[in-house]
Amino acid sequence: MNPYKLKNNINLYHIKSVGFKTVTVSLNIYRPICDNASALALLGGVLESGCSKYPSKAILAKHLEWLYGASLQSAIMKKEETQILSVIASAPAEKFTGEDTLKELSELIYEIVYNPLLENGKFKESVVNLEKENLKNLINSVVNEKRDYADKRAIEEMCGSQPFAIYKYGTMEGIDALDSASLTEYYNKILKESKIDIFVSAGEDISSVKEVFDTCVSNGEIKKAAKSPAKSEMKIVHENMNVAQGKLVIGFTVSSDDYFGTMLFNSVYGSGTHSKLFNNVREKLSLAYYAYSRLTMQKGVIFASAGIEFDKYDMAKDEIFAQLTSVQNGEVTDAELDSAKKSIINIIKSLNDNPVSLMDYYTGLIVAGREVDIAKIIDGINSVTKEAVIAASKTVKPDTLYFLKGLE
Amino acid sequence: MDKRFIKSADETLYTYTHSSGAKIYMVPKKGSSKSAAYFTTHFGSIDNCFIPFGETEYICVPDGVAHFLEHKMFEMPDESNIFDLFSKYGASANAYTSFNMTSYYFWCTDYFKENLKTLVTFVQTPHFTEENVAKEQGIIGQEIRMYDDAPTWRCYFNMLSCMYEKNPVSRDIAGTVESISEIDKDVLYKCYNTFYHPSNMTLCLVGDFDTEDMKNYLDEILKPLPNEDEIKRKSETDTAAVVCREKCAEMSVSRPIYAIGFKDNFCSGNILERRVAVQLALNLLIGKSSDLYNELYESGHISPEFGFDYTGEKSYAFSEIADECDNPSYVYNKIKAAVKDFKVSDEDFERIRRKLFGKKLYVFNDPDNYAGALARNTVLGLDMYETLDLFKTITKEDVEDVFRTHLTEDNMVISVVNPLH
Repeated sequence: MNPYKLKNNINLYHIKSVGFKTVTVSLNIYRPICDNASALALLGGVLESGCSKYPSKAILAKHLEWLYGASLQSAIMKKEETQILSVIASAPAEKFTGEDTLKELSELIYEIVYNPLLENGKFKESVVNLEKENLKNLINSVVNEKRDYADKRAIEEMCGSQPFAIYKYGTMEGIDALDSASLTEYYNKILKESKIDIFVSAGEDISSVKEVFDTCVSNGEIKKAAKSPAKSEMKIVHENMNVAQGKLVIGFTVSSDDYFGTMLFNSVYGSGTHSKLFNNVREKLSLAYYAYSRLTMQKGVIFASAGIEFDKYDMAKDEIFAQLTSVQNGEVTDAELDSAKKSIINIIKSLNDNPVSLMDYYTGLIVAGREVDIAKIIDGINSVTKEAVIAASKTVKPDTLYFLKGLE
Repeated sequence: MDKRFIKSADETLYTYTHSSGAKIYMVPKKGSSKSAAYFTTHFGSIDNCFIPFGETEYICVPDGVAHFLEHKMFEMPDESNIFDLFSKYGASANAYTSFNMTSYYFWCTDYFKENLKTLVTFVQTPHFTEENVAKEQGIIGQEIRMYDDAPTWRCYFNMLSCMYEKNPVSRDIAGTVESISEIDKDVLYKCYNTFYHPSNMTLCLVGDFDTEDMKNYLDEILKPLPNEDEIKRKSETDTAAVVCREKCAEMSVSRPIYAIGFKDNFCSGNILERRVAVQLALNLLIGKSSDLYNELYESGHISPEFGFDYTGEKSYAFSEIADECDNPSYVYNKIKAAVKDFKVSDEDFERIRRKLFGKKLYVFNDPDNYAGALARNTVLGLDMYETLDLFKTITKEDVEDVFRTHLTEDNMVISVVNPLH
């Protein structure tokens, strides 16, 4: 899809959604995650607290409610080594409300991002302090979901000082170091120096969106993530906590540059009910309820995860490695490859029915430096051979094993 | 086949009852990428006491049977795995069990008919053996363990057990490691034969297809069984009063997690009307524009996890307000004070009504969400489209009544999961 170029370099991606009940507009600000992850995360919370036109959370909430339950949120994402602040708004379409909701949403996002609530030229001290506390609590609360916690810990152990190890919400120290003056300074800087994109899901006519954002500026490129270097020996980390189930996460490096071959390898290996991890770790050995792998392509890392009994650690670990070896030895059937292709294509094609997911997928492509062209991606997936999957698998190396287990 | 146009949502629904008794709901959506199908039985975790098909006496089954059965349906007599067949035609398939239903579903962008055949066939082909039951005990055991570590889940069920003692709604949907160890293939067949009869099921299809063509195709693939009489179920009930005010647990969490509940003893009348009235009341009380929400937010008592909801069913109904914060009893007391003599202003009422009407439209975008919502409602005999009109007819008095009969101090409970000492 060719984006529409606004005056000052902003790409506007128009998702034509004729049969939809709702319209959606979002604005992405891309930053290198190593720049100041805490500041971007904090900014999201502060911007969402109100703007000059709607100067409090309550006033903003009332405005959204009058707009037939419009939603507005700022989301922080991490893709590869890029951190993204996405301000996204949805509302029922004009047909159901009798109001130009698309224009309303565009103006709302514009106000939130470009006309924030300031006091003497700075963000309100009280708002900044409150959002600092909220963000710190949010970071601490990752431990409440043990699977997320284990994933986060595995990435930290594997990627150490690489930017990829930085958590999407930043760090306690990073947050403590911020105040309303430094956050305002950061805000002014990033609006001048960041790549910014707009996404719209609506019918044919989006002239109102173009008008609203026409004077905004996008400036900068996304820095490509460097491949995670392989360790000479696998690092093993065990952590004890008061938990009922063990969480095993194994990080692998994958050095292949074959985008589609690696994607299909990951699918055959561990992504979906057709995969080797699902069918062996879960179905055959009944070791786990969930067992899957996830790939981050540019960074060249794959994480395999399973929730297991503590005493099944060796068995599960051996099986996760054995399934990798089996792919490397060429044990990939035509049916497995075919199912993997169909599964990915099904997911990609279906994104059309869900604008928020589609915007998220586009964002991933943009960060990875890929062309935003679904048809080409599907062609690429279909063209992958078994040999390409096996070749990609041979560049996969165990790197770090993390196990969260009970207290001894 | 009945055709019905729903003006407020700009949707057209086709319905009929198949000769087997299965109720069929179809929504053609020209131009949608996805098509989705949900095959749903009115059998959930609370249905643990019933008269089995062909028998005359009530039996009680172990907790977690409905969910266990859901897992086992994916096994076929020829030892094949049904996921392989869905994978072959590129569908994403899954199933879930809730308190009062079990739903099997898939969505796909191609081969809708092939996948529909797979869905209908596997749900109509039970195959339980001692070996495959034993294998599943391991997998479900790990699913239960996963939930054992989920503080919000534990908090939720502790809240329910503050409100209900005998009602099975307060017990975990998947059962316990002990209760599922009592499950054998005979129990599974008894449940299957009773509850998986088409007359206890609905099939909901949403996507890009032709309804006549689909109807003919369903005649080919659905088993032609004779209609069955209504199933006799028995469920233990509690008194109207709450069981206890408070329940606490300790887990590895960063700070306290809480769920504040209001038991609702509503059990007759229009469930949809009640749901609309209570949702309005909750939004007015503690929605994002309310004084209470903003006071709690500004004093640092609200996290991004904050949420509230109302569950209104025939044998259980309650409101839940859940979040994490350092001082849950502070929030509890604030809410307790706010529900007393709560005044509903005309402006707030109008605004929230608009909001909730708008929010209801989102579900019609994505065929998968849409078919899922249709399934949840139709299997209980509810009309989800009626809700849209209820937002127009509901009155301020209906909402004020909620503050007299439901959102009151007497009905209030709190469950807290604290960090470990």
